[in-house]
Amino acid sequence: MALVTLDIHHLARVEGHGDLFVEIQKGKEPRVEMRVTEGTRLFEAFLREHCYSEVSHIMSRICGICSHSHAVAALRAVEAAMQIEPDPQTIQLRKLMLIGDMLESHALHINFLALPDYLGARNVVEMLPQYRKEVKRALQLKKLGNDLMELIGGRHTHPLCAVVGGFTHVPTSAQLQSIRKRFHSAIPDAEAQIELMGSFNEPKLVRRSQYLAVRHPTEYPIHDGVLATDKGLQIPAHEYQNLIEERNVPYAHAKFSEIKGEPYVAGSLARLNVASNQLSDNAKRMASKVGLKLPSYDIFQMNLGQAVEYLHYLEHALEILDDLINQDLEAKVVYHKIRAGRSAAAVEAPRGVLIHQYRLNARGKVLAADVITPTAMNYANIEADVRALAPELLELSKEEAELRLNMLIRAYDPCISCSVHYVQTI
Amino acid sequence: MEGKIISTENKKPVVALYGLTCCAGCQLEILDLEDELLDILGKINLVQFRMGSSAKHPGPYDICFVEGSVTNEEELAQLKELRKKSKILIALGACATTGGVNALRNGRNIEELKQTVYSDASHLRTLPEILPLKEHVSIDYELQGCPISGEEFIELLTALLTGATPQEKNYAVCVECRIKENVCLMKEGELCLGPITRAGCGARCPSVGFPCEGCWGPVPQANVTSEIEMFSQKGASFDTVVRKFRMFNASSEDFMKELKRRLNIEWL
Repeated sequence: MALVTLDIHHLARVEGHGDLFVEIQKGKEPRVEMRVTEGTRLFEAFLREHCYSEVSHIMSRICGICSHSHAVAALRAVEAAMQIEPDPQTIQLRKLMLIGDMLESHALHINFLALPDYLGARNVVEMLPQYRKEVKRALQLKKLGNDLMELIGGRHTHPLCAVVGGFTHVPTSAQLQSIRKRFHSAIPDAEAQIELMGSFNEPKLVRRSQYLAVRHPTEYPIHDGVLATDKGLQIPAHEYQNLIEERNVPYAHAKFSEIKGEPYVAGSLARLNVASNQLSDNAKRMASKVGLKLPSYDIFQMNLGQAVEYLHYLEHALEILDDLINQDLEAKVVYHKIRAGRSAAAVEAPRGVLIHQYRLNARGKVLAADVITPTAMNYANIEADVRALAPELLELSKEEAELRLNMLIRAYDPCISCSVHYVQTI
Repeated sequence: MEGKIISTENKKPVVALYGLTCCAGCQLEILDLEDELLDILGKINLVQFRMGSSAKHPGPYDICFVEGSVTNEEELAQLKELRKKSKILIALGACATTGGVNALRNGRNIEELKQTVYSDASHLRTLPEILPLKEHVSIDYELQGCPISGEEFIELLTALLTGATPQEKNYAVCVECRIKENVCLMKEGELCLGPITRAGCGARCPSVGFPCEGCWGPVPQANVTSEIEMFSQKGASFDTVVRKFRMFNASSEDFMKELKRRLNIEWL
């Protein structure tokens, strides 16, 4: 085809509402617009009437799929603003909440959103006749993440008992033992999931971008650390505004973002490219077994990357559970003084770096809030990838080109309702 | 509403699942029924579910579930269209039944809110007030909660598929708390909306030491006056009472009417 115009309305098998418009003509710069059509949600604005203790419950409602990540990011940012130091037990429990989110969301994305394309199906129901075993396995891997969130947060969507300064409820040792057993016996299934995703070699799109993750000195990205890129840039999380630049685009209800004037990637591939040496030994072994070479600049390997991460996070959870089982956990909230302040925190959500920032007054009321989600971080990079894919698209039929573009966008695992926020300087 | 939708081996009801503006947590709650999902999918013909399938089906539908709120004219038109195409239309979750957190914009200056979030807000078309879906079109059933409970979803679907009458829970969260033998958080000095909130969640929040925030919406004949009084007796400020009541119910007439009358404020 000499001219390709593709207008994909309502991207399917992604969370939220978005369209992609592409116009490619030989010898011309392709026109690419990632149109974010999700209704406006105005969280940062209406949060202003609320009190510091209500922030995490409201902000978790930004997203059903990564509600625990939003809750933990909100709690950590509020605590930083009020100079509250959570105790080690609280930090360990919050790590489990974040890992639960990772496991549930990765299993959902790998198997139900990404995998059907690789198997020529439109959804998981169409996969059932041939792949019933794989679907059942996927459901159990997904459930494991949900059950961990339920146990620690009190509910698997929109956590309840994680509050500023601690937890209002903690699991018993017996409950931790029982989930530990299930986590341990899921290792072979997590390995099988890597082998399955590692068996697909096509499609590919190799383009070196920048990769951003939350880097910690001793553990693979999850709960806290500095914002770091694979090109060696590094900045404390609360100074994120000095690293990440944002701009308006007329066709999206979300802001697009860049680092040093260039698009960048957040998500599994970014974490792997920044911190692959911190993966569990078993995850490293499986990655090399299926031929995942890191760093990788092939964006389609986000899917395989998530499968490798699933195994890593499962094993990280086991370490934390082992540690907690030997302690007598108690529901406690550290004493804190309400005071004015402003700070930010960054965590790793399933789709990548998630930043929350709050400014509070002396009565603990929110004066201003700012959220940058990984999906918003990825929009500019998605457009750059589509441009890079353009010459190949000209060789394909319209149906094939549409499928390729859908697969590309799905590889980012976008969470569009998360992304319709916007940053103001606070 | 037309006759009952009964599922048989030869004729499975055509079911669609749509999302308006929200966090998608209610659709997710359905996907999170990992142990039951394959059985459910065997009893219905799920033809439209954009979050989980790239297949499309224009309708008509026997049963259509809608989560989320109407935030702009396009969504309003879509909801009206879905009403026309569906024998049974079911609103899913707080955003669809009470406005949920989306309704926190109600009573505020919408231009100012837009300006806060988007520096150039001129291209944004958004409604100033979020209403429950039943204020826009007629709704056959509602499942409350933020998010809905998977168990209540199965209960309702089972009733519809077997021709039974779905049971409504017209009692308060307090009843579920009693059944679980929870310590009453009100007695501990917390501000809990359990006494005026519809049951269905199994008293989830109080069971893990957190007071009810009212996400299941008002229980029928809620004694709002007495709840406001109890809150004031516990020393809650005017501002706190308003905030607690508004959190998931800024669009619930049952809560807001009494609050406006008692506190003599118009803007709520």
